[in-house]
Amino acid sequence: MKHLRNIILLALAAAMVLSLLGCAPKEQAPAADTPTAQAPATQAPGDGSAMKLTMLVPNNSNQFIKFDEREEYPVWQELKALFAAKGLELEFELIPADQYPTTLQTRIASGTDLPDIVCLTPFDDASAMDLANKGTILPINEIADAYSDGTFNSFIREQYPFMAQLTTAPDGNIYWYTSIQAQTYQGKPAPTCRVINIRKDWLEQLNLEAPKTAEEFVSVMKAFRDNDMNGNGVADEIVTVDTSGDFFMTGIAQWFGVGNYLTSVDVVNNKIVSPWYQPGIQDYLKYMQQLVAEGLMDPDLIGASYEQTNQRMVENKVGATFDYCMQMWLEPSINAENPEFLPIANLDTGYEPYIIIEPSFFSWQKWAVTKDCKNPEAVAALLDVLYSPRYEELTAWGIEGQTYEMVDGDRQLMEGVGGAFWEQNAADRNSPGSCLWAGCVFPTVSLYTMESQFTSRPEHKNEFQKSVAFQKTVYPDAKYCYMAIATDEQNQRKAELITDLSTYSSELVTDYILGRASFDDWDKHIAQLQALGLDELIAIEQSQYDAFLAFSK
Amino acid sequence: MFRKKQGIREGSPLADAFIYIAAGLICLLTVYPMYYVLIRSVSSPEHALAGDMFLLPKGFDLTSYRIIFADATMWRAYGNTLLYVVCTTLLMLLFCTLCAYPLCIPTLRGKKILIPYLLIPMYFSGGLIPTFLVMNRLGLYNNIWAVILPGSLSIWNIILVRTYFSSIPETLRESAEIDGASHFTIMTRIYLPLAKPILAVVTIYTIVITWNSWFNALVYLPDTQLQPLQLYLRRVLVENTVDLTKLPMNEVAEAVRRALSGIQMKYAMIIFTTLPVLFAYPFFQKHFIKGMMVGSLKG
Repeated sequence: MKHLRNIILLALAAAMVLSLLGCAPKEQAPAADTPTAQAPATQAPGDGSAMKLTMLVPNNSNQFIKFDEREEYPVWQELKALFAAKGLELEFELIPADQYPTTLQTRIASGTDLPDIVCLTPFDDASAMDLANKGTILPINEIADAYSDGTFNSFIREQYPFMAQLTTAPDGNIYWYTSIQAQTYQGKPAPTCRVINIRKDWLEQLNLEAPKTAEEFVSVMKAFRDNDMNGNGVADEIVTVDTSGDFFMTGIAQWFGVGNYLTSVDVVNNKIVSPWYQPGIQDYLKYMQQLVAEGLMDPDLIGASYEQTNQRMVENKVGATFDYCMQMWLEPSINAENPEFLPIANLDTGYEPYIIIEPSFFSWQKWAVTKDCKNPEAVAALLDVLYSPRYEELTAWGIEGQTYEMVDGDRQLMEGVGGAFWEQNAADRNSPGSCLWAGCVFPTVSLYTMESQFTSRPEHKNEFQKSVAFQKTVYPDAKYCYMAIATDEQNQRKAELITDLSTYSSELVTDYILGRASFDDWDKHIAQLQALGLDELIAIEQSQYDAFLAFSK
Repeated sequence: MFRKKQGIREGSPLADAFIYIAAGLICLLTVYPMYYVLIRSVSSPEHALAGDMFLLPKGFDLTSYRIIFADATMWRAYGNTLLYVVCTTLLMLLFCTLCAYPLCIPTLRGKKILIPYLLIPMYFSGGLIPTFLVMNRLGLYNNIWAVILPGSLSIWNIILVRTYFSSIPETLRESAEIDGASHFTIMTRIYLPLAKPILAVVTIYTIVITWNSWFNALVYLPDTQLQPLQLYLRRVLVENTVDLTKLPMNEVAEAVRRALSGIQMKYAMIIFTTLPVLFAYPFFQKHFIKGMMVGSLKG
């Protein structure tokens, strides 16, 4: 028994010693980058020392280039110099990206000891506005108006006013700053687009032209299948598009003039429309039904994850898919020799087709100033840095002569920098700032020319992009780039309507495509959509779009 | 003469065959997913990406395992998990026995109030945010005690141990009292040696639960140096999953690259983190089964 008591006492002692090993020293102030739920007080202005700001942000997710190692990167030293010139000293609470939403939600909900700046990206507009209404986040337009040197206001109101249009709340304030992307071609705003991409190498092997009509597309896909283009002895060559969710953005739907979301923005007629009311919808669904019936589309991939769909790509089974016309990430994943995709668009169906245009001006993600921030001058200084031309240069391009060079007046990343060279760039500590901090710690500010993209793409993709650069936008991609922030009542009503509507719409599309629903019951199904509030949702989003248009005047 | 019930006798080979087949199918359904993860983790990368294996791996490649073994962050997470498991288990045993012993004494004053008082938090808790506020104010944010302490106190286990203690004859305690033994002596010299089965059950349950836990670490441990293995595994599995539809084109390229790299690594990581529990389970299986009943019956 004494033996047992000794064992228990020893075990307890071991437990105490082991756990003491993990305890942080109490008296030591937390180092920069050490997460703490007790945010250090910010320095008051005018006391001669640097203005400090604490930031709760997600850490970057790049596999090789780590924000934790930023001090070793010349581009970070350049950015630090910009902050130092403004008298700014930043302290980061870096949270792993996958953990960040949980950490953010608990810290915000606890409402105490908040850092000065938080990355609010995990919150949608409605939740973020809720924080604004409660006073948890502060209006940055007031801070900028009072303390900025004009750089930030000039950026969002004169150079890129869409940022102000998209972030101005119903009360006229701006509560968060965002990432922005703007692209031009020949000096004019020029978007990229998403279309059906078809296997160019398979077309060439079969001596076929790219299809120009929907019927030709079916014939070409059948030819791929019947000729066993992947050589595995199985007739499994298919087209992959995602018809799940409230998504009508398949590339094929757009051949039939059908809008891209359950409620789409028609920027030509300044209206919100629904594909369910459009003339081409039934023929689109019949066409998709045909693709499934002919074995050219795998119904198992409806609603499948990216990994599941990508398996088909890797197995060299995809004859056509929906993606960006300038994409370069599909081909490397295919187990085949020299696969190539060719973008095709505007196939003739008897309806007026259009292309899904990604807006040339894009705004996304959020960072906000919390109520515990006591140094608005520091915030204004930070905004002036983040939306300055030098920040944009460091973020998108890096340092001239090290990561980019000027070619015919355009910036271009140097050979061996970016994307496929991350591992080497990390070893060399030579990278543009985007890999280190953009989209997580600081916003992405990317103002680039289409011409700079052409140098790294094959000619057939460049020609297609040039041909559609100035094509009329009808139903743009990223419709939230055309919608002002909704009021609280609108957000609440949308939240009540959208789940049931999206679910029913998605299931209805699937039922039609798989032949489980009959077109004889069309009116009944439309009536059900209306009963679920489709018209009301359209009206709410129409008012948001009208508000967006009013801001842009 | 015995009567045949619908033509099937007890002990019938037909019934045995049916039972074996059904059990085999259930076993197959349970084991195959794990087996699939195993063969996918050792297949060559292109086949691992395609996921086209069924019974046997296609190609053979241990690169993912080499990368995992060379990953210092993973070993750190492994060490953290071992620390949390050991500390939590030892503290759990301590708190359970110290709490259960007084409750098994019939003459304990206020027992009728104390036991319901203990039961209430078993059914109701303050929720995530109030708990977060408490942990924050106690200075436990970003501290390993935020993971160890909550896992060390389980009212369920206290009740389990108390029920077992109650099955030990009262006369033993009375005779020890007559001989002048203190409560501490009675607990350590009489009750604990007799309670080895229930303590083994509590130990095993605590080890398995603590090994698999990750949520407290997700909320209270933002510092990756302190995070346990399961949170590291979650990161490997989750952080490469993105919604590509909400990103502009230049962001999609990076997101796709992230999603495709390390697919094989995920499967290797799953195998690596579950192996210890998988190997340990056969040795503790009888205690798991015993544990389900041992605290339920008196006498």
